[in-house]
Amino acid sequence: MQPKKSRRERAEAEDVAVEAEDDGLPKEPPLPWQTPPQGYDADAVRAELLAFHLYGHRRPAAVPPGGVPAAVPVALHTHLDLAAVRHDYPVVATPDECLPLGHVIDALIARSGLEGDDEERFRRHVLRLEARLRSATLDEPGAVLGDAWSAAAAALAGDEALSEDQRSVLRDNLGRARAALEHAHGTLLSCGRDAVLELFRAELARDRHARSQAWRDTVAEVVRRAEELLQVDDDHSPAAQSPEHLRDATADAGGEVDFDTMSVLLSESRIAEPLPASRRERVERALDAIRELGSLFDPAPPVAPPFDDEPVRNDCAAALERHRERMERLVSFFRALHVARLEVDNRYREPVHDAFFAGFDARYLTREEIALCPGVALVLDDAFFDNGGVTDLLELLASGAPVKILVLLDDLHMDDDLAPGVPARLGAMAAALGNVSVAQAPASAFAFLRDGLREGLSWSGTALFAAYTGESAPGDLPVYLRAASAMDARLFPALSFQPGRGRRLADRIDVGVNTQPERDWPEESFSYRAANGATVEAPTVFTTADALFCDGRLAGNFWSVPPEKWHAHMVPVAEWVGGDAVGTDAAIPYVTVVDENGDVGRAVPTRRAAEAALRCRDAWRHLRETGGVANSFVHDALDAERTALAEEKRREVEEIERTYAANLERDLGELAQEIISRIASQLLAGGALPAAPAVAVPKAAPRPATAPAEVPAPAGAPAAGATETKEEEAVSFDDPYIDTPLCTSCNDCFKINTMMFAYDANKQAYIKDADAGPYCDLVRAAEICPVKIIHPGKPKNPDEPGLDDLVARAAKFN
Amino acid sequence: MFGLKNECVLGYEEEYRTIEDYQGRIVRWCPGCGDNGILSAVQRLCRDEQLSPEKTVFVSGIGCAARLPHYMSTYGFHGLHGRALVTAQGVKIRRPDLKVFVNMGDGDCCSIGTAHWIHSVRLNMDMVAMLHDNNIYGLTKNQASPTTPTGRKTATTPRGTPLRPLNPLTTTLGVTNASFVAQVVEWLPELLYNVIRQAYHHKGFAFIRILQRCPHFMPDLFTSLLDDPSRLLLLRHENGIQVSDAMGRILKTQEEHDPSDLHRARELAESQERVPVGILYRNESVARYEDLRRPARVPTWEDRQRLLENTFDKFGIFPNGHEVTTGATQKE
Repeated sequence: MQPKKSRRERAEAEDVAVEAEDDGLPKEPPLPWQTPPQGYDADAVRAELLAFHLYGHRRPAAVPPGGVPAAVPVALHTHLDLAAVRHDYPVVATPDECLPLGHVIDALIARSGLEGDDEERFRRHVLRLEARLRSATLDEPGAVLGDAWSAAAAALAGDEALSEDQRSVLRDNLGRARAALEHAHGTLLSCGRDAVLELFRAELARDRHARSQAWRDTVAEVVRRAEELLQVDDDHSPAAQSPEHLRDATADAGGEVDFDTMSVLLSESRIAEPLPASRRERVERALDAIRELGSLFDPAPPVAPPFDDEPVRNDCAAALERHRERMERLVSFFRALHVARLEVDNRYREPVHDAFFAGFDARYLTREEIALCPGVALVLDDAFFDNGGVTDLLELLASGAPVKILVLLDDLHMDDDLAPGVPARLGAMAAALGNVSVAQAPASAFAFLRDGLREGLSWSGTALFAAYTGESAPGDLPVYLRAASAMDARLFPALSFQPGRGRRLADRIDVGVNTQPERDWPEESFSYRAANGATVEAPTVFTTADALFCDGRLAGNFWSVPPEKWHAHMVPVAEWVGGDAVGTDAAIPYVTVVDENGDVGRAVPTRRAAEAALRCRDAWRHLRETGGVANSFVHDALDAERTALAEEKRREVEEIERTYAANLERDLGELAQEIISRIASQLLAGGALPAAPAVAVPKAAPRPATAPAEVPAPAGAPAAGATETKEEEAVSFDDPYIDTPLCTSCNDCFKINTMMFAYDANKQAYIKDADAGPYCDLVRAAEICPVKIIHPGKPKNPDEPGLDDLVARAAKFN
Repeated sequence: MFGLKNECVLGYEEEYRTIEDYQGRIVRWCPGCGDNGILSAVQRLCRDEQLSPEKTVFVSGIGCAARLPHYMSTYGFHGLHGRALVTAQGVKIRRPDLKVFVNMGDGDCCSIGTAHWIHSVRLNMDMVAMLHDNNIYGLTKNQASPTTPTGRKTATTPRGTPLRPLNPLTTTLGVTNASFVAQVVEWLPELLYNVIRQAYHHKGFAFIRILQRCPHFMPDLFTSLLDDPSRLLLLRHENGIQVSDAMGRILKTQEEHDPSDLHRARELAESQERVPVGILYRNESVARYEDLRRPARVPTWEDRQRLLENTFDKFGIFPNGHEVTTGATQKE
């Protein structure tokens, strides 16, 4: 089976048949045969194809016995081996963090501390193990990283193809890496709802920690001072001055201290009045209220967090209620904090502040104070939408309450026309409200989701995070590809809307992370082998129909057509959508697929599936234009500017031409006058006409000589050689050394003393051990070195025989 | 697409190879021989590029330089005198996936192998050809070669060589389809490695003339260049050689030379004042013979079998009444 040229390509070929150059590639006929096979009836085939495309009718005989081999769209076919390609999954999930495995590995390699060949070998061994981990996680997600690491390392070390030395080095490197591995207790999760949920939890914890950070020091200071205030008051109370208390509070000095007398003295010499009871009670109440949220400020994750971190599930009203409860606690907390602060500063005035704090409510909280309270987490899944919860959700989004909503969709909730349902379009709807932070993406776009979560959680208002997991769509594709294909097919495009980024829409909205956002659908090329054995490269567009083909529930909407039933009127879906054939029988769309045997084929969609692609394309165009991509307003403005500039240019050119024409005419007139007057004067004088003035022909400019240029000497230096000589003379080294980068690996020095000289990783010599031989070895090596890069230095052993002669011989090399 | 980048493929199943992994037999060249430096540079290239030994071939003819394949732990072919290039062409046309290097002395390339040399340049097949030019026949003990300087007394020219030496650079640059011509000296390891590496990455026939010392028969040949590096003219360019500051301090005489300028390259090649080192000429657009001859359709095993049977059947003798199915002529 061979894929065919598109209708557009055939048309172009016909139009430019005379002018097109031969590019060397085989020219495929529009159909897999030059002459149709025996019995091929084009009209009957076309009718059969149209019957399926328009009405979904297919003859039972059209399905071959044994069924049709499983197939995937050609664009997906080249990406099926996920274990071999580094992407964001699997992720390593811990309570505090959720990050891609690749990041953990990269950090590990960066911390190795190795260099040269050792570092490269270490890196390759660790990456080889990473490939194993990816493959293992695809098969069995949910393993602990440390355990999975050990199992993968054992499998690698057991490779029989390795020699003993190689196995030993591999074990050492993997052991070193294991010892330095962070997050070893984390769980490996592949793409899906679990990973998104863990990411959400980790980001909630991170957000809570960041919020409390801003207040930690302030609250600690107020609490400390309030406690000190009470402690001082306690110390001045009669109870604190009793002999028993004094005896308990003081280290017993062997019975030398008379605590009874001390008590009397202290009570008589009281220098401070105790706190009024009302004040003391007020401070104690304030401290109690502050301590209710005290664990919020602990550096370590609290065992019993004051705010329930567990998300609310599928209940918008409960989320709002939780928010109200939190606000009440927050009001109580800050009321107490302000009271305590006033008390420790001794600025609390009961006539004024009692009434004020009696009416203290949420309206008095500042933005920074409200920011202490983490938003209420709410998780909505498919069950919520199946029960008709969209209305509640929209009301919640419009409320502006700081509720952080994670919409976790395993399904796109398609309607009867195969268009994504409202749950899958919530992102765009929420963005239209203007004050909701939105991050929408499939689970495969891990980094985008994480960044969106962080921005949304730090936003003071409502935030919506919509994630499509693809887990419910049946089929053999990995979940990652199911999710990613929804994004590329524009069924569930990625979208970010952040009100906090700025006032302009251009600052707030972002659709750029989608693949090739300027196109209706992404396009890439694929290579296949044609029937004649030639390798052909052809473009392929991954449309909505391609993604729908992967959904096993929609199998009845596609017919994998055998080549003998292909027709010249078949066109790819992208071309069909962009042409005039929609709603007519002029053309039959198809999706290019590759089956499990590796054969390229065609699957015809029903009109329902094909028109779903059309609607999806239109929706995507609307969204991307809102996001500033291919924006028609901008294009119109640019066109208007271009037109205005062109008009201005044209006027300038006309003006110049007019001026030139006028000057030329004037000059010609003057010249004619001059000529006539000269002729007349000559005739009157009776002489010959003057000779034409000689015209000076300028000589051609001489070609500059291209002499090689010397490198200029540094400024201020009289002569480079002299400077270098001075520098060389000024510097002397007592220790021997070799200019290793200049070594030509001739082995001369090596053969003199193999203990003294050695080769580095680039097979260039260096002095390994200067004390491994006598000074004469160094001098001999310096003399024999063909490039004179060995410098013997000064001898260390003054008793070496013939030292004077050696030093004299070594002088010219030092 | 799908958030995946095919350049991020994890493929580290092969062990990392060090320079020692590319070392073959014990080196038997003379102490101080320039071939040692060339060997080190080539081994370093193999290490840096992680060339698979089973996919790398060194081809040589006869001479001291031709010992190099023995000292590499790769595939090698030590062939006939002057026939290294044509052997390498055969390797390349049959196995275009292999990395082919050719090592020749000045006798092997410029004397008996001249015809193959000329046509190798013209064919522009993808390989690296290194001319180890020590201006003498060293292995056979001191006979004059085509590049021996005028007046040099050798075993075959006791009164001194009468002719001017052949210039391998101008010869190569004068051949049609020349696509990569470089010259370098073997006693500057950084420069030598740079040039060989660039030659390796060039898609086509890369010719490098390496001026190489012969400490036994030509001990004073390059003394003037060794003592006075300013006689070397370093050709640098963003499309050519870029050297470190250290090398720049040694080779102070430099020129900015665009390797695509063939005319200037020829002028530099003829220069008698200074010895140019670096890339004289490079042109990536020259067609390669193996690409021009690549069949549009890769023959399958069935095709090959059918072809062979058709050919053999032409000479087959068949008994009477035997039906020939391949269309061959029945012979009695």
